[in-house]
Amino acid sequence: MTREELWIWYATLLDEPNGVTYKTFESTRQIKEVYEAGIDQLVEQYKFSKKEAEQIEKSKGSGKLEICMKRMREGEIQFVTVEDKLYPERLKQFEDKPKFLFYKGNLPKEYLPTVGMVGARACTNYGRNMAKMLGEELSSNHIQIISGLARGIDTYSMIGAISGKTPTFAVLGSGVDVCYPTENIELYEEILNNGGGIISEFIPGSSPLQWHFPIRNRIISGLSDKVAVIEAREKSGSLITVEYALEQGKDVWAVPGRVGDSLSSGCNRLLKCGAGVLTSGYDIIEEMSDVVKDIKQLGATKDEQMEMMEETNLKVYRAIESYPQSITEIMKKTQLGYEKIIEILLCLQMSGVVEEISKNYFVRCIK
Amino acid sequence: MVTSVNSATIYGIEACVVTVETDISDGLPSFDMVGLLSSEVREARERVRTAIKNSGFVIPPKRITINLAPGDLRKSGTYFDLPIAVSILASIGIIPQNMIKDYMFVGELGLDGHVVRVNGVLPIVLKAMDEGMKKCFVPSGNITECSLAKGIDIIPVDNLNELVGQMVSGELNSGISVPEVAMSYGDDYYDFSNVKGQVAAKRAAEITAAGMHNMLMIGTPGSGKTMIAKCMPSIMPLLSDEERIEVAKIYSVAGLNDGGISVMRPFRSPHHTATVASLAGGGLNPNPGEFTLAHRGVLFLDELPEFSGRAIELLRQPLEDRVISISRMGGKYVFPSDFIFLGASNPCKCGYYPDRNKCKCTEYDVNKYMGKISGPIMDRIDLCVGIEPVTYEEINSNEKGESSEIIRKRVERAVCFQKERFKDTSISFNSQIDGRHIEEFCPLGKEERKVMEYAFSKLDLSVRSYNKIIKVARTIADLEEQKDIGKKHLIEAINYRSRYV
Repeated sequence: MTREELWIWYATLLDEPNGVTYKTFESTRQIKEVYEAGIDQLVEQYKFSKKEAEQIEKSKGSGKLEICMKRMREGEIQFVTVEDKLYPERLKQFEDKPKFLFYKGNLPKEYLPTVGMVGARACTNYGRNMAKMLGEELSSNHIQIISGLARGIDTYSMIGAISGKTPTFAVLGSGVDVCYPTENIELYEEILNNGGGIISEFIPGSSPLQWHFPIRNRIISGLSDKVAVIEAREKSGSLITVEYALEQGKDVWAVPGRVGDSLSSGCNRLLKCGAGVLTSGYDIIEEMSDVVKDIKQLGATKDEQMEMMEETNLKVYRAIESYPQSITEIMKKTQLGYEKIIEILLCLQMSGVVEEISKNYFVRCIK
Repeated sequence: MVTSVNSATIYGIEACVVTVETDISDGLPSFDMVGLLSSEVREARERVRTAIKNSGFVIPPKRITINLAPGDLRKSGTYFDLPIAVSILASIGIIPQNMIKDYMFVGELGLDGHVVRVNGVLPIVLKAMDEGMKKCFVPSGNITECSLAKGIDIIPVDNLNELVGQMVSGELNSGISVPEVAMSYGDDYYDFSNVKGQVAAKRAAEITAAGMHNMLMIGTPGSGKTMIAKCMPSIMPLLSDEERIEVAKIYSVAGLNDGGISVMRPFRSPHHTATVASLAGGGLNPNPGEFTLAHRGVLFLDELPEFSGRAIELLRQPLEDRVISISRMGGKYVFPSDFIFLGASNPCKCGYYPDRNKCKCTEYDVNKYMGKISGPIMDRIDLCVGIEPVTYEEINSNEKGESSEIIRKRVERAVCFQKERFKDTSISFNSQIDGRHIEEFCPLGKEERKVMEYAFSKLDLSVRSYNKIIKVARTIADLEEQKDIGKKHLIEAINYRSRYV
């Protein structure tokens, strides 16, 4: 078995109807050992229950893997594991991170900020408008919106995000090739056409099962730098995402609503507990102003550039401050080699965002 | 009867053969010397007469006429005491005539007849060899520097009496072989493994050495500019035999050959109070100055803006033509001065710009300070590099950097690589490629052309600095032994451009 096959086989275990206990294996080697182990060994060494061990044994010849691989080929679905370089940095630090992700399109860019937008499926007109407005404001300021593609707030956040032009990302509770709810198929396509991506830890073709959604929410909050709640009832699924976000140490923002509106009661409670008051996208942008400003500065000159918006360029740009920095200091901050640094510095100089004020001392240009 | 003895004088750094002719005839006793003589040569009369007397010989009371030929060449220096004495002693029959033919004599005499060392013996010995002379008599104090001249008998002379004794008996000291001078590799301390940190500066130094470029280092006081400069000779290719002779000749003329003959390249670092004459060479009969003493090596001007404006402007000719010419009443002298020019400067008067916590200089002050290095000089500097102060961690780390020897190996390979490219041309290093030949030796690909086009318009480059960037890129590519200049080479080279032009 190839490395990818082993991992995808591992992914199929998660999809068993009775739900094999989700053991945390993080390396190809471990998975290989489990794959090669017999039932007894699985029980004794890996502490699976007898039932689970039998299920694992059964899965080996079930053909599920082959179906999954076929769907991946047909649907142009990509696969990334914790071992890969492409695996999102934002998720790496969490204990219960998904060990692999299926995705269509792209993964969120590491150097652009992200905001997760969640809320009720059955939203009010107010919620709908707020979601659209916030999505567009944030997205047009280079913030990537992460959401769930569910009905209601999720949908309108993403519609707003698409008109803001920055790629947006949907994390699904089904396989990435299963559009749920189906009426969102146009939005699904648009997300992909806009440079965004559809992400899921469930194997392609898997249905939107109820138990998928709560665990899916940890990925939404994990991928987001900040989480915004647009509308939520006192007891709402969106609040699961908020809980994850708080556990993961992310800022939570909530849109205030009228006292007495049941769809705003969850938000108002969050606000009482100290969540950020979100009345406009600029509340969040203000908070992220450094990052957004930097990106804007680089982005503004993009048309005349070769490839300015490269991740490392931004890293170097961010290392340069408004007082002069020497090459060595920049090298230390960015951990890049000398050759790479001078190439990027030259690129930044040519685009007029950085100036060499004295030999080997660089400073940002103020426009 | 006229007796002639061969001797020589120094003109610039080359030797010219001078024949000392002596005629002794009847008449009122006199001792006359003719032949366009400077005062130190005229004074030889008294020294020679006394030395001969004190060596126990008697000069007959006759009319003695001495001529130093050719008559239109101005003679200076104290080379002629010994040949004049030998010539007189030969004409009065004390030294056999056959003992002076095809021999060359140089040396100054003391009143008691001992022979004093003189400057410039090496070029004279080499000239004697070219002229087909068989033996050359030199002061024994000069014997070490003569080790480079192979193929001629060098005979050290201690005093006049002893010399006459040998010549009369015919048993010359000819068996004395000149001791081989110990090769000196310079001070171990000045090795790049002792330079902590300074990645960029070391890299620039390597490029400088490989392509014989010029470099300006800008940095705060105490950041290590001088240390890096002093390490430069340790990474430059060792002197070839030919170059060693060239350098030794200059040092012989300047009288600086005491420490033995080094295979390391010379390193000269004149103080910033140096006068124009001490840099370019001067005197009535010009002596080599610092520019010439740095020939085939490194000229390091520390605190460049502190040098007088005239001194800095003097650099123009050697940086362009690799020689310096001096015109005097006596003639025009051309001294070789092909060196790597290293300059060091603080970024401003207080030395800490752009660190505004320490530097209080105004923008005007900063520009004025660097403005002392004029545009034309800046324009001739290929690499400009910032030297940053070493951090505490770097001082305390035990990590040794690459040793100079490893770097030198790379530099030598790059030099070979260049030689291959420039064979059948007069060029030997990338820095010498002129505008006409840029296209021929440094062709750029399509991608690279685009980079340069972009840089040219965005960075306000002049044609000269454009060419310089390409030449430096050529050297960087040579260090990697790449046939074609790549994009990354150009980018690195652009980064070294001097930004004050």
